[in-house]
Amino acid sequence: MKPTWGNLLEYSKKLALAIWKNKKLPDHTQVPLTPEKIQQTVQKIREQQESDRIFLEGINAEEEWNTLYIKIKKPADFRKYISFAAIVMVLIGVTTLYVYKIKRNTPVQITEQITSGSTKATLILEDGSKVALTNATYTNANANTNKEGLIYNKKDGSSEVAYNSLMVPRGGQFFVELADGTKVWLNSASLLKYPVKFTPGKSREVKLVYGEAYFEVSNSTAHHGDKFQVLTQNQTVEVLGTEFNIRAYPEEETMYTTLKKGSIAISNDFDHKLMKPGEQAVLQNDAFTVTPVDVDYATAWKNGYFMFKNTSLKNMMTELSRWYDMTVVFKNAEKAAYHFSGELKRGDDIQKLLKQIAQTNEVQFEIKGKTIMIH
Amino acid sequence: MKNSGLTLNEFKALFLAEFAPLCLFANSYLHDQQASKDVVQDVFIKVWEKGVYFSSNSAAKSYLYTAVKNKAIDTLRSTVLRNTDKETALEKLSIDNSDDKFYQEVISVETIRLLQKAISSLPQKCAAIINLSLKEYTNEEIATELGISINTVKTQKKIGYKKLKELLQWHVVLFLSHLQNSSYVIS
Repeated sequence: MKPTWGNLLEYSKKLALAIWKNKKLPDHTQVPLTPEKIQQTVQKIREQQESDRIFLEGINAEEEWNTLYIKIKKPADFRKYISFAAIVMVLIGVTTLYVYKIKRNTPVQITEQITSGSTKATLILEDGSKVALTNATYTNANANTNKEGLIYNKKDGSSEVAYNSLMVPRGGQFFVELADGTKVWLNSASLLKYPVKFTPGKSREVKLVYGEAYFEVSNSTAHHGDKFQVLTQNQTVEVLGTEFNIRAYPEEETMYTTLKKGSIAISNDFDHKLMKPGEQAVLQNDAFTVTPVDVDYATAWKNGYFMFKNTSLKNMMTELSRWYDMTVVFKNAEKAAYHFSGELKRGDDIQKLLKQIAQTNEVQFEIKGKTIMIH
Repeated sequence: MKNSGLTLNEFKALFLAEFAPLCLFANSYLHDQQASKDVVQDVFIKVWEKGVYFSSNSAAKSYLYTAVKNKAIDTLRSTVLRNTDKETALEKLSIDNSDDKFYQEVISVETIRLLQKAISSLPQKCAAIINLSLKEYTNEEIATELGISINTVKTQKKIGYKKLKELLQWHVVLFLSHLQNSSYVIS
């Protein structure tokens, strides 16, 4: 007898309830297995459920989606057009690797010294002492590290709370889960200051001193209604259970706040706006401009990619230099204004990325130690 | 260009919901996490490329579990063919492709994913209690192990059970909003 899938799924639900409550097993006449086989199955479930749950939790569906998405997207068209202003727009395909053509005689020095970024940060405790966090395990009274990052114990605080800071250097990135369950991904060259525990009845406040961070804020209804606020140098973002990205690099003189999910209110002394998902607030000269954007571009870094849309080579190289911790020099100033669109993987070697860009034959790269020169 | 099948959003929602359980299922055949992920990814790619359309949750699972099983068995068979000169091939020679195993594994995965979803949504303490309860600890044993009162154990178990039942109600509603009257935001 062939079962209907409805029956199989119904049976699984009943089984889950029965196993949870340690009660009598549900009637199984609708399922095409003998009583002995059913018994065998239930036995196996009981023995394996813990390790199976760990197996399930070990799989990051979002990351796997990114891998899949790259494979199913149509390969990029290579359209090239040159205008008088010499703006070149090229789509970079990540799955193909082209032979690097050298126009001039200058040899490209392949060096071991530029490496792609990795998980690293410095934890600064209340008393000022510093702890280097890498892949090794670290534990203190309030937090411990695991393969994802630094996780704080989920405890409420009283009135006097200690503050910690996480400093992520160039070439680094890090993940931290705060005491209220809020998740924060920190990009290179970022500093986040936050309390070790949150006090019920008080708003939950953290400070992104500088850099870029992606926040997945734990809902305020789970925290006595205490709202969550992210302060940066020049603005305050107030959130109610949501996901958003804040980019506040001092050298850019502009702050970008991109909302993926939920709702946030953004304000400073002069202006204030309410944002909806899919919008980005740009703070320049003390005023906010809110426009719809493709959120994926602002948050690609958290998922392991650089995504560029009609981005100047200058800005692209600034972005790359933070992650690869290198210096960039434009020998040919015109090329800084060339524009590119496409995706690059943050895990790739810098040589591979540069080859992809150089493939357009419009730009050449020369690497000396940790410096890249652009011709 | 695709002119049939799921929209990208529907496909993504399906992928996010089903990828991990399908890997667990594939693993029961392959006993190799990476190989399992590869098999499931390939199945999803085929679904997209062929423009397969699912009219319901059950239809999707029926297709996916079957496709993953078939691909897993193929993988095992080709492994055996390549390794018949090695000793380990003997273990793999007896590939279990029976209906019994199939249904057993489906039920196992479907049951465990519900348990996992429920437990992962519980606060730490409650989850710890349920975890021990699933290992068939008695209330007394749990209370001793975690250093709490038996009453706390009982109360937390009630809360956990309520959460599980809530989740089971919504479990079917994963998918394909245009078939229902209201639309569900899948994120």
